[in-house]
Amino acid sequence: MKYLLSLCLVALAMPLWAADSASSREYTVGVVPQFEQRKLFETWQPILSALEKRTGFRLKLIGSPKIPVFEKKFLAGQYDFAYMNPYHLLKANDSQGYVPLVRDDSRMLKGVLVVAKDSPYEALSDLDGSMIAFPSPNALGASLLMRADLDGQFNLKFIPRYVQTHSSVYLNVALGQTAAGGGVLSTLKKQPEDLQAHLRILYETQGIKPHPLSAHPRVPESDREKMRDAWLALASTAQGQQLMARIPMFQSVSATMDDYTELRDRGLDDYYILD
Amino acid sequence: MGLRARFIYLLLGLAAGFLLYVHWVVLPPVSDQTLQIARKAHQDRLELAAEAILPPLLESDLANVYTLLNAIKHDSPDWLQVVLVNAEGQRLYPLTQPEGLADRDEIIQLSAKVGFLDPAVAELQVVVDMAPVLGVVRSQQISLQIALLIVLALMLLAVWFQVEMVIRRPLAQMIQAAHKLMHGHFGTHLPDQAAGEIGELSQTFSDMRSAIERHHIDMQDELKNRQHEASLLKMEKQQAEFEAKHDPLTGIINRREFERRLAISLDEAQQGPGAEHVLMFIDLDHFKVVNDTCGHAAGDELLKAIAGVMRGRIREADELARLGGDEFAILLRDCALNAGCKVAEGICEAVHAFQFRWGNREFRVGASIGVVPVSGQAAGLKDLLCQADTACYQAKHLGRGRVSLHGSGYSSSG
Repeated sequence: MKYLLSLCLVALAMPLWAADSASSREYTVGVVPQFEQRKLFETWQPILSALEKRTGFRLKLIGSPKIPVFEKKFLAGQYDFAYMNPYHLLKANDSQGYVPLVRDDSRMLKGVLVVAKDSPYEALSDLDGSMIAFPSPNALGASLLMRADLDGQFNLKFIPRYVQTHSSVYLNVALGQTAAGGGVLSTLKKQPEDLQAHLRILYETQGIKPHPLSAHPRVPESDREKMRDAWLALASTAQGQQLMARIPMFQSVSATMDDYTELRDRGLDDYYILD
Repeated sequence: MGLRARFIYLLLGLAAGFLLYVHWVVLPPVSDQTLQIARKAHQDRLELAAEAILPPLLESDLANVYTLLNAIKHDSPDWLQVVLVNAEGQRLYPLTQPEGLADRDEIIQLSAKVGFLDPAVAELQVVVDMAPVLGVVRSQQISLQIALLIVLALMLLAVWFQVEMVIRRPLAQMIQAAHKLMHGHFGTHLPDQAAGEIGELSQTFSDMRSAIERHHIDMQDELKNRQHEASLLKMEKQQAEFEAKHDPLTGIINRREFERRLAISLDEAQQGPGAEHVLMFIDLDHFKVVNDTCGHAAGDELLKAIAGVMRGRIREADELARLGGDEFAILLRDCALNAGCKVAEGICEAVHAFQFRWGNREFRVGASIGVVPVSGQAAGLKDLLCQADTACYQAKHLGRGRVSLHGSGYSSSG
């Protein structure tokens, strides 16, 4: 009898408890450092603030100085929510059980190979034996997809140089430090006009669905869904669209693991560099 | 050149010399040092920047390098140009070739190696605008020199003022006082100050002036006295001369003076042709009666009155003299003998007609007149007098109250 009573009390208290702690809950959000910290924070902080209002829990944005550092932390499950490329998602799904929540439906993620505008390279074969810049070894579009194509598809011999960020790749190519560089269209379009003027695209890889916002399984499903709903709701507002376009995410849709299974077949594991 | 001008030139010269010394000798090293300090500051900053970009540069993270260099350039407004060059000499930053600035002359170029290898990974080069520092240095120099100028000007004014007040003006006053002293003014204001050499000089000058003034006053008194005495003497002399020449009672000339004037007229007559005068001696008749009756006072009054009567009968140019007692003489100048005789007769009548009243008594007197011509043929003075005397005696002898002409039996009664 006493046992039943206390159980009832606990059961009654639970919702209150749960409701109370919602406002004091804080989740970390890790974003892959495609750009320098400041730009990253400028892009994501307003979105998270808007989401906080809708979800009721607090969101703490965590940047990372370098992509490799981010990758490690990601794979160690240090972020409650994370925005990273699909390949990392697969890995993280395997290791930690991260599940995707939302993604952009308006475009495909492709790697682009850029060369200096005034350089003599016309075909990929011209780059045989030269140095090519990539952001980090495991950047999906810029590095993994690109290297898989260059090596796997075209049998190109090249010396990779990992220059930490996408912006670095473009600068290295523009300044003639490397013959070519791997990036993605979205980051290329974000570069200053005078830098873009120094570059031209030589090759594009096949596209895959772009980066999702994922959640660690330790986040309760209710909160995960709250996040997803809040995101999609925000994305439907004019203000939300304006904010999210800077990520860039032009058309947010709900994401599932099925969107990314095709990636498993690309054989990118061969090009993944562990350290 | 006066004290004032001398001092001003001296002080101006000193001030100008000092300012020039400060400008050409003192300030240049100071401003050089300031520039050196500024230059070193820029170099230090550059080396810090080189250190900051080393890690990303080693990773080829050019985006990070660009972020850092852009931020550093933004925070260093004096850095006109920042260029990063790799070991092969290729420009890594900025993306496009910057414009040349070599023609501006207030810039310096600094460089720092990135990394501690040799050869270095890269070199960071800046072009620094030293104009602000130079501007500060220049304005510092200018404000210092202006401050010095003001201080020197004030000092100049103070010294000049002192010289003016303590030396020049008192001296000028004393010079003025000395000038005035030469012209006899003793009251000119002397400088007030009692202290120092000028004060002593002023005091001494004042004492000297007082002494001169006293001396001057004494001399003036002395002079006045002497003048007074002299004028007294002169008066006395004149008095004596007058008394020597005139009869005290009647005021007409006396015998001596008459004889002198007669001598002159005689000379004239003897020298010049045609000059002739007439001499007459007049002896009053019945004069003693008055004296005996009424006393000497009456007699004196009578004589005075008769002199007046006779004076009235002759001209201004003629002489009337009292020879003594009741004897008179008349010299008629430029007069012919006939006319002279007529005059004598007239006098004779007038004297006779004159009524003298004394108390309640009445008297009448007469005149015995001797006439003598004075001409070129006349004898000497003594003889003339004698002749006149004789003629007068003759008149008396012939009955009194008449005119007798010398040398002729002529006589006429009045």
